[in-house]
Amino acid sequence: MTNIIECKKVSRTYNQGVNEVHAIQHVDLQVNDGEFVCLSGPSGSGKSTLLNAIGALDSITSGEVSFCGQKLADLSKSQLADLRLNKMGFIFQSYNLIPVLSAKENVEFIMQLQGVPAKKRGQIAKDMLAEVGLAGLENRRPSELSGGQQQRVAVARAIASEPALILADEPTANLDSSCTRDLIELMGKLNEHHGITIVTASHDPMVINIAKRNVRLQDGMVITDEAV
Amino acid sequence: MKLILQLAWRNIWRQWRRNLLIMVAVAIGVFSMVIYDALLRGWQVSIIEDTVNNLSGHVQIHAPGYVDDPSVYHHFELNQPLIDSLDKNEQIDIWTSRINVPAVVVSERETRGVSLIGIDPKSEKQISFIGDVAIQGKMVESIDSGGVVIGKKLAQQLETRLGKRIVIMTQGKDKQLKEIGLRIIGIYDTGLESMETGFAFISLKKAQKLLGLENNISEISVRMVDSKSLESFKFNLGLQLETKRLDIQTWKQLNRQMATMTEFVEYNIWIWHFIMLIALAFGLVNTLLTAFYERIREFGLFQALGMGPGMILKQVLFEAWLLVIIGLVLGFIMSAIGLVWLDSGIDLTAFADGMEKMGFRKVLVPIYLWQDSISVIVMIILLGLVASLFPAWRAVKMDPVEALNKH
Repeated sequence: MTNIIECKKVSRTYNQGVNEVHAIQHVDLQVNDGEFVCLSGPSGSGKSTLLNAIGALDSITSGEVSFCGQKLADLSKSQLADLRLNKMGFIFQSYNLIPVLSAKENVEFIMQLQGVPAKKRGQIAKDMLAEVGLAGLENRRPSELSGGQQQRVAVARAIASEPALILADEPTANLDSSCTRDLIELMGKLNEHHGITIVTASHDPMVINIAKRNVRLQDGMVITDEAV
Repeated sequence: MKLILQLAWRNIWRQWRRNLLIMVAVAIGVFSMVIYDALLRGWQVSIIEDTVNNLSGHVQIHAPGYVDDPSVYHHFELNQPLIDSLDKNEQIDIWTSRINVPAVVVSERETRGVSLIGIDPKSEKQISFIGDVAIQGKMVESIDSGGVVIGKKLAQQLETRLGKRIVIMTQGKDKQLKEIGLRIIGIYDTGLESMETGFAFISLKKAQKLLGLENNISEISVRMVDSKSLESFKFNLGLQLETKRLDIQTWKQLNRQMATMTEFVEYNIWIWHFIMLIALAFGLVNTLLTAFYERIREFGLFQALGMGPGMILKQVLFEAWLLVIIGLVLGFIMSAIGLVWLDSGIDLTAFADGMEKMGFRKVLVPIYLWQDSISVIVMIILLGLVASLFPAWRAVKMDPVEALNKH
């Protein structure tokens, strides 16, 4: 299997006034192509910080993060943006859809940035929305959708451009149990059927159970890393 | 580009009340710039036209010394080579020759000092205000006809009227006092006091005979085909007439006060545009910054999803541009309505006395030059650019994780 992510001795320290907060410390992690990894642990354990470091959204204090063999520290801001655009898909806890765009336009957004022709991306967006169970709701704005539906749009947006990696930060935190179940099944399906590599940060047992590998963090350090 | 425009357009109408307010502010700013420009241009054009029509023409030719001492002693001969030179010059629309000397007019009751103008009415009518001025009676009919034509205000001051005789006294070439009694054959009405009190018109031959000047004249007044090339025309005319030892002056040299006032208009327009730009910039920066802080998570999201710094910058810039361009279009529509409404001019009769001294006519007709709209458009586009720089810089520089966690 190809190594997609490699974290070597990654640390991230925040300065809060005179105090230093070590969000993650000396974390080593490798994620291979096609894996479904859950970063679990209590609040403040460093799950989101590690996920943000992997997704090139946040800088690290020390160590090294590589994506497909490319060290992220060597890339400029524009190159990191390109990497996120073309290789990664993001699903956030609070959906983060663009409120002025319809569901279909939200799904098309990344493809539009990538320069996919209008006709092609329109068809892909329609198919993706159908796949996540939102056929017929293409023209609704986020404010006209429920929380679960919005998160499905976010999933459709993340997978539409066929990224090498999907990073999901507490994707079920704002969903009720029914929506959570649906979303987890969807993520499992995406990993199983489409072979998409997924790294998610969650302390939701349902998410931990569906993931194939659980990396447990505590106080910014990996305490267990085991297949589920 | 389509995506950026789509987002910008929809974001504008997301907070439509606030954005409408800034668009209306821009529109009012544009309206004020256009109307102010048009009124100043109208004033500028009226100054130039009145000055040029007020006998000066675009350029005048005199004997050396005449400008400092415009008396009968500074004259020159209107000979055939000079006539040929002027007739052959393609930049000259029309020219005329005159006698122009100081004189005193005496009626039965009053005495006034004037410039005695001896004219060739055929060419004079095409070059100065007497060609299209309202006249009671008639203008001097030919180069050697009799009678005198004066302004309405001068007639009032002299307490005389059409058909009455007045006496004109002036110094002749022989340094003797010359006088002639002439019947008033015409009284003209320009609406400008300075033009109605300053002149007494008689025929050129009559004036030459009175002064003993034979074929000599005081000045030649020239109207150009295109006055934009005033300085180069003067230079070339100077080369053409080099051997004749004559002085050539533009209307700007002859009327420095009026020339300064026309230059003042140019500076005034720029100063007003700049003041409007600064005032609008504050409002626009405030609107854009408010929009930025409200949508800080969105900008974080754009970064997280892979929108590059250049596109984010364009996003903020285009939003600002759309705001100001809509305001600009609204402003031009308002201005067009305003200019149509003011088409017949603003009646300044109530302020006529003061206004006339400043060179205003009783009716100020706005004139809008399309060149001025370029300045307005460029300034408004610059306004969008300047106002969006700070919010755009903030949007590009912020940390996406921090932005996504803002509530």
